[in-house]
Formats: sequence, C-alpha cells, structure tokens
Amino acid sequence: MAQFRNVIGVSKNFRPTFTVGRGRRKESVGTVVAALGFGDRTNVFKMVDDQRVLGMWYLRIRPPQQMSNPLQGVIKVERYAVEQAERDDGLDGVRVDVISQHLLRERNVTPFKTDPRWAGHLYQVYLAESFLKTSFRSDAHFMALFQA
Amino acid sequence: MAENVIGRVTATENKPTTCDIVRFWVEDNVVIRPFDVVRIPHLSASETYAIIQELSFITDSPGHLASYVSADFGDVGAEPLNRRLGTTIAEARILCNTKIPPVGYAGPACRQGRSGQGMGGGHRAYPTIATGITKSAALANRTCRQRCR
Repeated sequence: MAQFRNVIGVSKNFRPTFTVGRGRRKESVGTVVAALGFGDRTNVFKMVDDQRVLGMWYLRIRPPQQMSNPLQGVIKVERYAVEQAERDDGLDGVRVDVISQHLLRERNVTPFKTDPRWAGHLYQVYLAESFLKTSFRSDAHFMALFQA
Repeated sequence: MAENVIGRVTATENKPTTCDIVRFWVEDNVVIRPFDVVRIPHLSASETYAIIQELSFITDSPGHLASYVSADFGDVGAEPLNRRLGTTIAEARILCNTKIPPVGYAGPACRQGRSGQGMGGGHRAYPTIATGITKSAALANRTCRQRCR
C-alpha cells in the first residue's frame, strides 16, 4: 500500500444516487454535491474495498451558476488510507485541503466544446486521454472482432 | 546544421505544401519575423529557399469561447495554470529550389546561414530569383547577428 501514498484518483463522472452518511443523516451524493459552492469540497467519506480503506470526497471546480446542471463541474477525488492512523481516524484534513487546492488550480485551461465532460476535465488528463485514444482500434474494427 | 533548425514542415489535407507555399511549425522560443528567409533541405540533397510571409499561432481551442471559459468565465485577472497546446505556424513563399520542388513532409526548416549565402553562386541557374535571395539572406543574417549579441 505504501506505493499509493502519493497517488490519487480523480473521476469526472460519479453516481449521484450513491448514499453517504448513516442513519437519519444518510443522503445521496447528488444532494450533497448540489449544495457545494465554487471551490468547496465535501467531507471525506470512508469506503472499505477488499480490506483496503478508501477516502473519497467531492470538489466543485467550476462556478455553479455557469453550469447547465447542479452536478456539472464537480469531480470525485479518491485516495487510499495508507497509514494505520488514516485507516482508523480518516485522512488528514489539511492534506485533503492541499490536494483539493492543487486540483482546483488545474481547472484551467479547459477542453470546452471538445469534450462533453469538459467541466470535470483536467486539461493535462484530457491531453493524455486524447493521445492514448489515437492508438485505439476503431468501433467498426472492434465490432468486427465479435461478428467474425 | 542542426543548430540552425528552427522548425519542421507541416502539410495537411486542407493546407498542403505546394510549389509556391510551404508551412512549418516553429520551435518554442524561436523568434522569427516576416521576410526572414529559411532554407529547407529535402529529397536528393535538394534545398528549398523560402521567405516568410505570414505567422500565425494556433491552438487546440475550437473557438474563442473556450478561451473565455478558461479564464473563469471572463475574469481578466485569471491566470491559467496550464498552457494550452499550441504552436506558431509560419507560411513561407518558395523562392527557389536547387533541384526539385516541392518540399517533403516534416522536413527541417533552417535559418538561412552561411551555406545559404553560397546561393548567390546559383544565380546562373536561377538568375531572377537568386538576386532576391541574396538580398533577403543578408537581411536574415543581420537579424541573426543582432539576436546573438
């Protein structure tokens, strides 16, 4: 797990019906995220995945008043809890803030109009994705593999 | 010769290299101006000499609105952390070819240097054009010397 110390995962899309919290405070991610202002993040939510503890939070990187729907412009960030203290007590809030600030600074420039997911995209990731996709086989070629 | 290379020829479906016009992208931080002369070596040791007529900077942005959005929706004080993918494209009109036109794809574009001055001796083969090259080459060399100081 130590190799994941400086690794984060960033998602442009997420399931808004996913629920967080417990008991009467349980609510859907869509509800929590819709209330976020520009630059705000949610609390870190704990997930256990095959004995590995994962912390995830949501960060709004675009002004909500400029977005076409309440969930646009929000990214999901994930990081493994590496240390025992992190697994027991949660991720360090200061470190989560620093990671969020760095991600927020990465919001510009944007692939506006070149990718429908532009609001949640980070430009360097977009460039890497675009490059990798050039090596993909075409849809027609892929379908032909199954039809043969 | 390698130190004189300032870019490489680029040809597309819409804007191919022709007998008259050649376009090349320019290496970052290289300063060139209209009327600079470049030398483009290509097939069969042939060289093409061209004079820059137009400089344009292109990016992967599909429209001006993308730039507006990338400045936090019109904040003139916004400083984007990332630089958009882009390059300077120079359009140059071909003055002459020592052997064959047109230049090949991805050939290097070199700043006109000492070897290019020798083109003055080529005026027997290209009497009209060679005169223009000699004058322009002198201008290009002077610009280069000023830059080197």
